[in-house]
Amino acid sequence: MAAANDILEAVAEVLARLAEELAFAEPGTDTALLPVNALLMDLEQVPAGALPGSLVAALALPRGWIDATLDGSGKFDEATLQRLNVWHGWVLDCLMSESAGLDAPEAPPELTVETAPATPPAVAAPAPPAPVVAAPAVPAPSPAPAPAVVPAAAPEAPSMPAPAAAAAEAAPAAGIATMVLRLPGDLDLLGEFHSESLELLRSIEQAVLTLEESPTAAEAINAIFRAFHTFKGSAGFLQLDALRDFAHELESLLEVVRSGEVKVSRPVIDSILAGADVLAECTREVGLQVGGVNPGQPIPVPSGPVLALVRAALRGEAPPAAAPPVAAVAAAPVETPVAPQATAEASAQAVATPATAAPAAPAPVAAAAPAPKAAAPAQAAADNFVRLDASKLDDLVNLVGELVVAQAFVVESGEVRASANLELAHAVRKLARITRELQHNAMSLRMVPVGGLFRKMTRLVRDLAASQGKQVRLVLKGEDTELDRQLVEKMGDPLIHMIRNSVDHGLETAEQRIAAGKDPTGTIELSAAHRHGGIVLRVSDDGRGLNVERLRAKAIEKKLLDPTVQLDAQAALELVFLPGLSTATAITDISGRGVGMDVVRGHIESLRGHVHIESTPGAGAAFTIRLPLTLALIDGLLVGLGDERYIIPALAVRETFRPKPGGVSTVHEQGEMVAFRGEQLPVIRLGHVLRRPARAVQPEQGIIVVVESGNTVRALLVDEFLGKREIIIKNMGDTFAGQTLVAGGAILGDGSVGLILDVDSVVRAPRMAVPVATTTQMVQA
Amino acid sequence: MTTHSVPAPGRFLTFHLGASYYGVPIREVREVVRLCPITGVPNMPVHIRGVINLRGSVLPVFDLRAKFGMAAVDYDDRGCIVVFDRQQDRPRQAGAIGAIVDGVDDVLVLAQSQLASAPDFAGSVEADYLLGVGTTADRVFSLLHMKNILAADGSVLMPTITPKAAAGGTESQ
Repeated sequence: MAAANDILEAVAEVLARLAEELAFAEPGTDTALLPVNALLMDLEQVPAGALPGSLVAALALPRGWIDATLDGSGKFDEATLQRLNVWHGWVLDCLMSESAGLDAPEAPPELTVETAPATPPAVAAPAPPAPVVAAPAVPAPSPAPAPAVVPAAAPEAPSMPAPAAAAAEAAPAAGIATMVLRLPGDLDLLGEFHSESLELLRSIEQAVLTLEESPTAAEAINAIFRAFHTFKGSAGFLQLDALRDFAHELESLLEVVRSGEVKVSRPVIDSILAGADVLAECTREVGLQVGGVNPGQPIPVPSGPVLALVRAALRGEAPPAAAPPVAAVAAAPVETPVAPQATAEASAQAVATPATAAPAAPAPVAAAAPAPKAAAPAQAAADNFVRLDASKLDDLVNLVGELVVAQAFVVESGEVRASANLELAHAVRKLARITRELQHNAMSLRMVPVGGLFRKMTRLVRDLAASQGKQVRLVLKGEDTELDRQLVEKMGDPLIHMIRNSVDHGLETAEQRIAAGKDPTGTIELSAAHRHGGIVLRVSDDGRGLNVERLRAKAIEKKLLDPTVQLDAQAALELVFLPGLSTATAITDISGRGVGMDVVRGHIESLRGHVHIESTPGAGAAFTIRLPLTLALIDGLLVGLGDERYIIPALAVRETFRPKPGGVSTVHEQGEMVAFRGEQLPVIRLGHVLRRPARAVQPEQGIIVVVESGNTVRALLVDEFLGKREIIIKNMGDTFAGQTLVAGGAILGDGSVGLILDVDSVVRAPRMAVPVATTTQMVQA
Repeated sequence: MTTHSVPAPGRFLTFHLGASYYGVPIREVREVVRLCPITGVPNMPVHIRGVINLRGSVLPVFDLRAKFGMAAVDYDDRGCIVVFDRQQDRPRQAGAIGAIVDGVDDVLVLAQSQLASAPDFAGSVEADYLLGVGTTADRVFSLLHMKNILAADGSVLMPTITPKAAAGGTESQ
């Protein structure tokens, strides 16, 4: 009974929280409505076999009232609140009796009428408790989702028709409904709805991925079901009726899957995804309108086709609606042994108890049991997280960044260094250490694993492979690697594009692969790792590699390349980044959309990252992206030029050195070159590019900073190297929008502004054929 | 094109460039700061002087004298930077820009009777830059249409760097 006691405790805790919420609820307002709804949903997750059926039914009792409230005015009415309070007291009594091993107390008279439809014998009637419930004006929601009750009762009523499946048949074939947002009145609520929905959609997607791995993972089915249910509640609350109805239909249809009557199959998964896609589309539209794009425009909810798909999927697996679900029950035992292994460890115990105690118990009970139990700890864990506005987090990180700079100013100031005061020195050291720790902590708040981003790609690869009839396996590595949330968000599009590219152009069809002596299934590997204080993302495939000849021909054909120019292998590969160049011979809906790898590179460089290509004909291609760990604070090299100081992002720097006298040679019509690790690098004098005076006339009077931009390596000549700094990049505003040489400003330790060089622009700036003799007499503007 | 409307009465911040006196509606002014070291930004038009550190933010600064085609001077300790909110509806620092002036004088309340539309001749200041003219007992103020002046600055495009221009880059800008 240990497991049951755990559950009783969990239920008691939820009830305690419910009491708190109910204390806030007031008739005629929506205060506490959503929290109450959520807590009730938790209660409905109680494993059917773990508690007596009567108690489970009691816990699920208010569902109808809340649904009626959500579907109706969206506000508590007096009667509902009173009923909720009476119910709460009674359920607490039931719980105490249960733990004391006593019989449950009689339901108070206010509740008894409603209890009837929810108790096991009456379960066959999927009718909602609506007739008794207040708000008679509200049309009864067709199939009442009394989720916890149905699976519990199923074995006892083997001849009962599958309720949700029946509902599916009965449901009208809705076409495309529309909804209109109440803006600006509901602006805040809609904003919350939008972010909440995004989260729900993510959890649906993740659950679907789990389902694909193990179709019996009841936990995943439950998660999807819950997500649809929450969608319904929130949409109803905001009177987005079309969306609510759609989510409601999805939820009802999935009920049969949840209860184990229909097995999870490919068509079922596809239909769930299709449903989620419609919700995602609506969510996106809500987000746009909240953001001020076409507010008030009706939003179409194209539910009809999707629901038809869902019904077809369910029918494909399910027995005809009128037939007893015996077949489905018979199918269930096959899956049952798998379920405990597939679910979390925590659930194993719970499964064992009912299964061993009642070996004769019909399978569905055992199959249904592990899921809610697993969901409960997950819920508890989720409670330890705080959701907060991302901009607050950004502000904090920025402030901490300021603190780091200010702290460095104090620590490095001459006076502090020269001070003989030991106490001061001690305090300063302590300040430095605490600041460093604070910085580390603040940064870690914004760090998220790339796994979430990677898993989105799983879906993409699946869809792409299916639509192109290719066999593709996606291998993920280093999913736990953490990087700045902002970067994760911004890397989504480039990754999607690169993966599309790989599937579309890189990987061959199964026949072609077999003909080439390869595994018919192509592999795309997506990996992440920390390196050199930054992060390296890599997308590689074992396809045919980039076709350099075709790239070149295409570039010439599109007049992007002079046919007389000879390119080395690397430069030829880089042609793929030319704007307006696409190597797909046939326009597909996937890659041939005009945006190309040039957009990808631009995007990555805007994040101060770099992308590098490798390709082996016949064996595959790889794109390696190097990114800073965070956008907030970067390591920079402070260099001097004339009287000015500039910052070069450390990620773009390979090395610095002072050239030997004579180490820089002037090659005819090529400008200055310097030997670096056995290679001749073109020298760029920073002063020339910026048109600013430099002190170093001879190269050996200055310092060479070896910088790289993409695959291009250059020797940048500056006057002096002033050290390494952690700096915060400040936007300089649109006055300098046309200024490409400078990526931003940073406040230096002495309070002046230092300019951060955009290495990519500096490297690409035209180089003078002959260095100008002296620049010292230049007048500063 | 000049709109020959009379500016609305109200408070104006007045400042001078040499012997010319100017005013701007006070609601467009965020603050006035002392002239401080300016970090020059390469390859910008000559009137864009660079950026300063305004309490932790990077603020672009332009030279009003240069903008009006007046001779450059060495600013003395009366030199100030008037910080304008370029677009009021934009958050915080995003749209702010500073203008260097010789000195800030006063905040004046100008009544309807003291205001007139801009004359057709506008001296060295382009007519689009003027809101109108304000008159007090001892002075005439050119009231500036900062929005027009600043709008032109927001979209300044870089002179494209051609190899030739770069080679000739030793001349001062």
